[in-house]
Amino acid sequence: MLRWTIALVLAASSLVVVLRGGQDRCDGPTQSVRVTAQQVSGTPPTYTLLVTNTATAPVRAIVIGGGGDDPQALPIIGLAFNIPTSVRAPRGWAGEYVFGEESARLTYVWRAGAPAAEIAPGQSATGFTLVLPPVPPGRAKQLFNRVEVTQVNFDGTPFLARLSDGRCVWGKTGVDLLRR
Amino acid sequence: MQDLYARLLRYDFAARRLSAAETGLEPEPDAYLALRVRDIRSDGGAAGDQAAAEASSGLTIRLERQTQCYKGDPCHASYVVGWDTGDGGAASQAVTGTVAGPVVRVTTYQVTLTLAGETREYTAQVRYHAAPEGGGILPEVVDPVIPGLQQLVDDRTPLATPRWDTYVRTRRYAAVVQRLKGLTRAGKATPPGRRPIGFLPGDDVTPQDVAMAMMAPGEPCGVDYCTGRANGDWCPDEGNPSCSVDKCRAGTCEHTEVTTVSPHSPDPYPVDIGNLTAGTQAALTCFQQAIQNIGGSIVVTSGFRPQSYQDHLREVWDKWQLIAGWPEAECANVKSAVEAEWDRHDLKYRPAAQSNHTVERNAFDANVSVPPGQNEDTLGAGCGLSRAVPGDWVHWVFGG
Repeated sequence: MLRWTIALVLAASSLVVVLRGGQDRCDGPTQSVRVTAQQVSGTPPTYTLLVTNTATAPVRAIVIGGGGDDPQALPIIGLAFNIPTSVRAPRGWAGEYVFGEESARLTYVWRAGAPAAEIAPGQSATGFTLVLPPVPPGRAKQLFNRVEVTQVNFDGTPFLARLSDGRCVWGKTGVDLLRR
Repeated sequence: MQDLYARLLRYDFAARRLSAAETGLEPEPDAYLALRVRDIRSDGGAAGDQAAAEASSGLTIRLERQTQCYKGDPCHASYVVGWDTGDGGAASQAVTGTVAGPVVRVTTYQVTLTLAGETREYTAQVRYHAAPEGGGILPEVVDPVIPGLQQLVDDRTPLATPRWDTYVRTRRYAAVVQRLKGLTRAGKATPPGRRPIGFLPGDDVTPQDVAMAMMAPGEPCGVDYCTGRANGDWCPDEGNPSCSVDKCRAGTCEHTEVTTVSPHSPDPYPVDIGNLTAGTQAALTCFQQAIQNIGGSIVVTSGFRPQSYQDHLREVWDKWQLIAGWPEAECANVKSAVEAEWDRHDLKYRPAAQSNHTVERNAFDANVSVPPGQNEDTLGAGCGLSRAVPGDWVHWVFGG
C-alpha cells in the first residue's frame, strides 16, 4: 500500500524519473527475462541477483531501477542508504552504480564485457551482488521531496534487460528476503 | 497442381494491379481470372496414357509472361491472362508433348474457369513422366483451355508489385531480393519445408527481414520514396556499409551516419567540488552543515564539469536518440557502444550545450532528505542556494 502511495505522490509531484526521453522504448512487463534477488545478509543488507533468460536473444546488460514505461514503477532514489558499498559481478561482467544526470534516480548497471559472457537464451546467471549500507535505527524511512522513501529491497523494483539483438525488455524484480 | 493454378491466379492479379497503376484505370471486378478445381483423381500410367484431356474447342486462354527487373537483381514476374482471340501476339502453346519420357501416372480433374464474363468447364490432366536415366518424375500439365500453363511449373519468380519504380526503393524489395539471392546460393528454388499452396519466394519475408534489409551499394537516394511520407518514416539505406540511420525528412531520404561516442576520461567524471567557485563551495559547505544539524542527509552527485564532459553527455544523448530504435545489422556494434554510454549516464534531458556546472561553476546536483517539518529550500536559501529549474529537484545554484 505504501509503495502505491509513493508512486502516486511521485507522479503528482511531476518527478517523472522513470520515463526516459528519446526512443528507448522497451517491451514489458516481460516474463522472458526474470530477475530475482536473494537477500544473503541483513547486516549489511546484501543481495545477490539471479537473472534467467528465456528470451530469444542473449542478455548483454541489466539495469536495476531503470527502464520501463510503467509510470507506477518505483525508481531507486539516490539517497545514502541506496548507494552500494560494493557492486560485484560474475566473471566477464562489470557492475557499477549510476546517478542519473539531472535526476534523483540511482541505477545499478551490469554489462557483459564480451559476447561470450552474455546470458544465452535458456540460461541463468548469478553473482550480481550488491552490498548496501546498514540503515541506522530511525533512518529506515527518509523524506525526499516530501515523499517517504525506504531502502531498496528489490520487491517490485523495475529493471531493464538489454538483449544482444538490440532490443530491450523491462520487468520488475522479485525478492527472497531473509526472515528476521 | 492446385499450387500451379493458385500461382496463376496470383500472377494474373499482379499483372492487373501493375496495369492499373500504370493507366490509372481500375479493372472491373469480373476481369480477374477465377478458377475452381475439383474431382481430382489419379490413375495408373497405362490408363492415363490412353486418356486425354477434353479436346480443346473454342477460345483458349493466352498467357503472356511479363518481367520487371531492376539492375542486376532477380526479376519479378506477372502474367497477363486473356482470351486468345487469334489476332496475333503469342500463339496458343502446345497442349501436349512438352515433356519427354513415358507416362507413369495421370491425375485428372475438372476445371471451372471464368474470365471477363466467359465461363468454361472442362477436364484437364497432369501427366507424370518418368525422366530418362532415373531423373525422377516430371509433371506435364495438359490443360486444353490454358495451353501455356506448363510454363508455370518451374516458374518460382516473385510477384511484381506496383508501382515498380517505387517498390524497388523499398526495404521490402531489398528483403525479397536478399532472400532470393540466398536461395540461389543454396541451389534452391524455394525455401525448405512445407509451403502453402500458391507460395512464391518472397512471401516468407517477415517484417523483421524488412527492417533489417539493406539496399544494394550505389542505390540512389530515395527522394521518390519519401515523397508524401511523414518525417521520421524509414527510407531505403544508401548502401553505405557504415552505420547510418535512414529517415524521411521534408520529402527527402536523409542518411545520418552514427559513430560511437567519443570516449571521455574519466567517465563518469567524478564529483568535483574543488573547481566550483569559492562562493559555491562555501554555500555547499553551509548547506551540508545546515542539513546535518537538523538530522537530514545530502548526497552530492555532480559538481563542476569540464566542457569536454558536458559535450560528451550531449553526444551520448544525441546519438542515443538517433540509434535507440534502429534495428539495422550494420549498426549493431555502434548501438551496443552507445547503449553502454546511455546506461552509464542515465540521462533524463538533453544536456545543455553550456551548463552552469561548467561555465559559471556555481551549480551542483544533490539529493537532499530532510526530516518532517523541515524544508530544504528554506535551508538552501539560508546559504544562498536555490533550485532554479522547475521539476529539476537535484540542481542547486548559488546566487541563482
